[in-house]
Amino acid sequence: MKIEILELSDNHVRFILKGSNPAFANALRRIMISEVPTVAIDEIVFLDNTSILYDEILAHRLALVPLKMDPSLLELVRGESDLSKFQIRLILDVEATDGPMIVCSGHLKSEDPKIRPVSDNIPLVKLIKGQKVTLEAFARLGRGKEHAKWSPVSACSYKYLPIIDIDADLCDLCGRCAEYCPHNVLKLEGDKLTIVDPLSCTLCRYCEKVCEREAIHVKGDDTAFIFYVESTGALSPIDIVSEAANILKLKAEDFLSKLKSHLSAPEGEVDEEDRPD
Amino acid sequence: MKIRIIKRGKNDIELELEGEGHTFCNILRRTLFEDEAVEYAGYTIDHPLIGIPRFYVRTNGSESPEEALIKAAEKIAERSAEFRDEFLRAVKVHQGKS
Amino acid sequence: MIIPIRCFTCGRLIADKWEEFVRRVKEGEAPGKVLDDMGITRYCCRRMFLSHVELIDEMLKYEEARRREGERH
Repeated sequence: MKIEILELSDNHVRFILKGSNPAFANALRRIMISEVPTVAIDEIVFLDNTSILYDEILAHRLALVPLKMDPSLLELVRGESDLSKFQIRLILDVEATDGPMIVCSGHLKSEDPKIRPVSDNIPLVKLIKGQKVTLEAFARLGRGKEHAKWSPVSACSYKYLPIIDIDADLCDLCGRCAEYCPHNVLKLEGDKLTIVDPLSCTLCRYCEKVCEREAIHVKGDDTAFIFYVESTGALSPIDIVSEAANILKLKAEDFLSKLKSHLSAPEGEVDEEDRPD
Repeated sequence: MKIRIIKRGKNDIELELEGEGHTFCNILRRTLFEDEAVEYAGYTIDHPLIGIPRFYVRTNGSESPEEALIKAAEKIAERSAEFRDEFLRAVKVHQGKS
Repeated sequence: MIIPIRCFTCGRLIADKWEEFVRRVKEGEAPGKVLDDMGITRYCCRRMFLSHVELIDEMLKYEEARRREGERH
């Protein structure tokens, strides 16, 4: 297994994973989307709301505000199925005293400075003079499989590493493939067809279709993957990817221990303590 | 995760993995394929939202299906750890470059 | 009514970029260029900006009128 980082920023990472298989890549992708825990507002007590948005609309908007979280929380709940023990309170108390105003995520006061909205400029509601919103919001840990607001990623995908084969004996350098390629992967320079940007090839195979001499062939390498992970801002992309790997490891170990206890215990006397309530 | 053994034949086993989905079942199935002794491995999920995956493994007899499952799960854990370490190493390399 | 917090399709945060988008388009920049510049690359997120109508300002006018009515009595 070999990994090479192509791009890395505060909210996204692109990397190549070589020497793996689609099932492993897919397990990682699914875990990043639906099982890496994050914090999101889950319950709201409205004390006053004279704005023109109904309570439930405002609540829905607040829930979708991504909250930056402390990565050490991940360790705290690793391997736990019940995440409800963690909760923090945020308070929103605004009144438009002089003229119209926009209530922003920056007005939310969190009791824990480490957990706060990703951006302070997210408009929540607009008020005119005299209108008021007072509420208490409770943020909890959760997972994307329960509600998308808890998913740490917005886009998370992989594609096979493209393999582009040009048969030099058949190619007559007509340049049609380079001309039609939607991502400008190929380029005809003088009397040479070069692959200038193989990684942005989407395997659409349009070049194969327009080539009259069938000189070009594109296929995906199913042992190598180009991953793209874009964070909502709740966690750093590095934490998301490494936590996904931790979760997959824990799943396998959990399965192992359960299976082994099944094998050592007599029939029907297993996992009493795991029985759901 | 909760495991329930539904059936244990001579060289095959059928189990239910409550609380899991395609995420783990598919990688487990794929990893079992790598084992020469495994003749068949597969699973079904009756309903995407409420179904409990049923996993079926059959071996050629040179090892028990439980052994095959244990080997596969160990491989997955190993690879996940390897992936994490390799990823963090690659990040360090990348940050060193820029 | 008011700009959605996230893109309906991919879940990317978009609401914090709305004010800047409107301001720059009003100043005469091409909407597509502004979106490129702000890093909104996927078409799911782009349509959120291009097709949104900020109706809340219109609704607030009625509230404003009602408030003035109340002051008069």
